[in-house]
Amino acid sequence: MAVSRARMRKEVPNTARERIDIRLRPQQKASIERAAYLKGLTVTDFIVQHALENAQRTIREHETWTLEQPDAELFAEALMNPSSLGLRLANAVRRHKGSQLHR
Amino acid sequence: MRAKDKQDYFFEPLGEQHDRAAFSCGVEALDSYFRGDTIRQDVGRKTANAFVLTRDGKSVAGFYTLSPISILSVDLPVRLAKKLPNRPIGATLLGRMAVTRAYQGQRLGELLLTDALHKAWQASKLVSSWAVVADPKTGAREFYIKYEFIPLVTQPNRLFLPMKKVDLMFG
Repeated sequence: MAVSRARMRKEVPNTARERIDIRLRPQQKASIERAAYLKGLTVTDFIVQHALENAQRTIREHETWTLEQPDAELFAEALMNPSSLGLRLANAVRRHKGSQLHR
Repeated sequence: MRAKDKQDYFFEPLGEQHDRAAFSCGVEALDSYFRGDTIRQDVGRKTANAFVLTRDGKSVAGFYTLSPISILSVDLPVRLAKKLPNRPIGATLLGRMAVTRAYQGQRLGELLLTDALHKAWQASKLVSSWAVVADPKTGAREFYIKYEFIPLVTQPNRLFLPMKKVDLMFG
């Protein structure tokens, strides 16, 4: 298994690359170039690394909601003791059942 | 449209046979999501499930997506903390939902929402889900509030409906 997976990796090296063209102000570019230089990275590596970290954090935050007060309490309370069903939802579900879609 | 006419409609998982290119709800972000590759990637990678409302199995009146999401509550008062697990709990994200222009104004949004809640409720019987949550980007917040979703205080565009309440609908 491990062998075949290693072989697969070798046969299909992941060399695909794509481009992103970015327009930015000269001062912004200069700052990025200076920061990349200070970190000993190429400008491309610097930008990709930072954008990727940010992207992954954004995705994580989208997939997990973190609730602090007062929302944590609002949420927990509503989950434990939900209000009774209102007219809107009750009617919606009645229509839904009547529409033959309820299966 | 009378309720009787809605019997022609049915929901099914999004597939290649559906005419995605003709979809237009008027919200650019939703249109490009549905018409472009993103929705196919989401479905292909199983990060979301997409369902379409159709009459002929080809043209799309509306769609919605469902995906799992975790919700972490911090700093809960002890009396509540004892009742909830001290880790992220599972919920169901009603990610995107839209009705194409030609079909707007016929209460199909309600039909989409109800079907999404029904599927989320069915799934919650197999894999625990405490709430259905939504994160509408454009003006749809009022729609969810109308249907009894509760908005968060500090993140007003995020809303939730307790699964216990969905139980009352279908249980």
